Amino acid sequence: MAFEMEAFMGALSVVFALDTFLFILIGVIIGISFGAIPGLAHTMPIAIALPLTLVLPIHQSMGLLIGTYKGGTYGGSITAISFATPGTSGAAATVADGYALTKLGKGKKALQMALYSSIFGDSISDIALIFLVIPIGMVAPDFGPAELTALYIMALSLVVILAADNPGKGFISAGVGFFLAVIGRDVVTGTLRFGFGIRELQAGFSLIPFLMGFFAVPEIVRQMRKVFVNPESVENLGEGSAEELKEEEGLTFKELLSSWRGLSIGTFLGIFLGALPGPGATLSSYTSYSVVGQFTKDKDYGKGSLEGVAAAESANNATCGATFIPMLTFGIPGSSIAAMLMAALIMEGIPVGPRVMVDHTETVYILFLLLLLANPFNFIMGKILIPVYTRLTKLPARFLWPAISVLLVMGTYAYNNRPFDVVIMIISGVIGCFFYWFKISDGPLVLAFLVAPFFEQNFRQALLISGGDYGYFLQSNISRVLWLVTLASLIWFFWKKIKNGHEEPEMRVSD
Amino acid sequence: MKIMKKISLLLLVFVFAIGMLFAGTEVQAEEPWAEIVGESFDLIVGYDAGGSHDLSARYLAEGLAELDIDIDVSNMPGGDATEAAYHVVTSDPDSNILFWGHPPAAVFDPATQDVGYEYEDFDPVASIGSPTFVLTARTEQGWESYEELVEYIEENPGQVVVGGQGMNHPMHYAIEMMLPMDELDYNYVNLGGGADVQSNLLGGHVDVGHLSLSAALPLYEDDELEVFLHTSTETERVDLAPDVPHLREVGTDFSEPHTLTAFAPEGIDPDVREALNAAIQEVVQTEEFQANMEDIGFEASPYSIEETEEFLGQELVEEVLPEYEEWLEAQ
Repeated sequence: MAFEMEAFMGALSVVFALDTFLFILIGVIIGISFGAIPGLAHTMPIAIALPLTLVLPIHQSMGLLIGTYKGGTYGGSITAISFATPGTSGAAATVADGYALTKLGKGKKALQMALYSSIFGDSISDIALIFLVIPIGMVAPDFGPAELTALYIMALSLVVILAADNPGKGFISAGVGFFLAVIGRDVVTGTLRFGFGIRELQAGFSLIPFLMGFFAVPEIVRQMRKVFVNPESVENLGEGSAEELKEEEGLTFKELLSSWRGLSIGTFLGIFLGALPGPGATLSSYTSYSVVGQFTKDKDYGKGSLEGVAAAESANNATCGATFIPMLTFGIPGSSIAAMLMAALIMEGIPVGPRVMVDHTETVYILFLLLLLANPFNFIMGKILIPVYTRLTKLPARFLWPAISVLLVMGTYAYNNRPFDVVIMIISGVIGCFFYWFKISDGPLVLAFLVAPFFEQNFRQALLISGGDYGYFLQSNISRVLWLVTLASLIWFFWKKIKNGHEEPEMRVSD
Repeated sequence: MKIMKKISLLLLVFVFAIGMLFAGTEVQAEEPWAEIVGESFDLIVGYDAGGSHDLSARYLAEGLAELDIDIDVSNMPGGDATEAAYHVVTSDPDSNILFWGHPPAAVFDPATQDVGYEYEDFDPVASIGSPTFVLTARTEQGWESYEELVEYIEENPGQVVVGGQGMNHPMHYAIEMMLPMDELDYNYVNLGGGADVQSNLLGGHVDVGHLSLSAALPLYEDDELEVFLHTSTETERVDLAPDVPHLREVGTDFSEPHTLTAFAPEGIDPDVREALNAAIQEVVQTEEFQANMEDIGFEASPYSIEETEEFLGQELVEEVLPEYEEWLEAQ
């Protein structure tokens, strides 16, 4: 797409107006607020706001939706760090290090790192969208079932890496993840499996209720037990008094810079995985968190590392801009959020497809500018809200955890309006408790649960396409490169492990 | 004299007021949806926000709002829309709740799978027409018509890959109607949905794709895709792609049942059902709704309750379903 100055100036005059700023700001506030409520995520406010596109002009409606999207993607980290309860599925990987930092009295640092890395990943992703939309967009359809199978095998190889410290427990963890992922309808034939005669299980274990319950319930049980056994010990969650809280140190520039591996790897993986159809933010953050774990020099990785927060948060926000790439190049919505934003454009009368950048250049520039503009708003609102959430973590546990429990139930129900999702959340919570008591690493479970359906679907689709020929998985150069990278990573990991006896981090909400 | 004038004026005002009251009542009485004016209904969509089901529901809600009927669109994805359908059939019929669904979830899945409800558990309120589905391939393949595609498959058995959106499902059955597997040797793969079919077509992973016209249209207009035929239940010629023939024109008397319908739980008050149908028909006929639906690849047509029941209950349940079940058993 050649640069068109006239269209750009037109877009500038539309976007740089008070009403646009106001709608972005409202969107960011709604996004952060909903993102920070477990289960509600940012998909709900976007869905609710969709009809507004019928009455609002495009810069206002898209400003509102983009602000909500970005604010929500960041907002999920707030409760993940403050209460071990990820607000969105994309923030689940932030729990381990983020919450560990909160318990060490470094919640403010963790929240600031989440904010800075989210804004960094998001901004780079927007820039990548603007300058690389054509080249990345043209490559995205080359990822067919065979290539995606290789990609998901690469993601699943992280399960092996995460399980390596304690293979027995690690593979039990992965096995539970695989099993929960296959409950419901067969992803290819649509037949029902592992329903145990329970009608509601036909829809399977939904990701959001599962993650909410798995991470939040064990922590709620643990904290409430303390409330009953020794109320004085949990008057506030973090260490230190209210006076100390006021003086709690913020993130230093040196600490931010020292997390460059997490920031750069997370951003790169977020952009790459965000441009492909699939689980987007959640897979990006887990993959980034696991990969950075192999390169980091931080001994506290997995137990309270700022780099861990940076790895997960830069990755999930870096999917924000990238998710527009297949949409603007071919009109293909790569995720549920992209589908909603595409619907909003259609409702505004913009037919999204390969010609959108030629026929509606000004609209595309408006989108680019809105994406870029939403970042400083997200940053400002994040800065304002960090002290509020830091204080919330210091609320007496007898108020805080019951309130979180209520929000958890409400948010889980509201996610799909399904009462059974609350049951799934509770069952997942019980599983989470067992994992906590038996000190089983949760990383393999979450990765297996996330990736297994996508892997299974693409693997079986590839076999259907090739008529059962396994050679099909190695036919394209993309597939070959992905298989080689997977193999090389595993060899490198085990070689490093044997050579150094390096203790790998466990992605677990440690006590 | 003054008193007489005042009395005359008062009488005049009174007559006008009474006249206006009666006139208003008459207009109200003429509106066949008067029974539900000011009422609120939940419209449960079985798929995520942003898809064609969701968009059409929102356009309908927008239109009904202008008739002072409040529609709250809720998304309850899961089980290929059977979760939403189950939620509605198990609701109180007087609770103003409707399922916004298509025949696979309301007719075919309940008849062939244990989804917890049957078609008879619904009282269909109103159909509004259907999205158009098409059979398509990349232009660079060089096939310019359905006949050329069939000829190529016959000459190159096992070489062509067809991507669809369901396995052992009405959409798979539709592919069988277009390209019968007992006559033609090709590989069929069930992809994740319309966007997935688009992406796999463009990437060259499948040769032929079955997807909605709205998904294919931008690529068709950009000469990336060739569209061979359509399978609309509503029309023989689609305005958005007037040169594309119907499947019937190439020799198979079949159309794909994707007709969107508002279903109430069985036992809904007949007056409310009638009023809802009338209001929906009114909205469907507006220019704005027609234009909005055309933008998302729909052919919108108003259906009375009788027409809706005839289409779903007779045409689909009694005629298409037995053939579909027979085909399913043979798989």
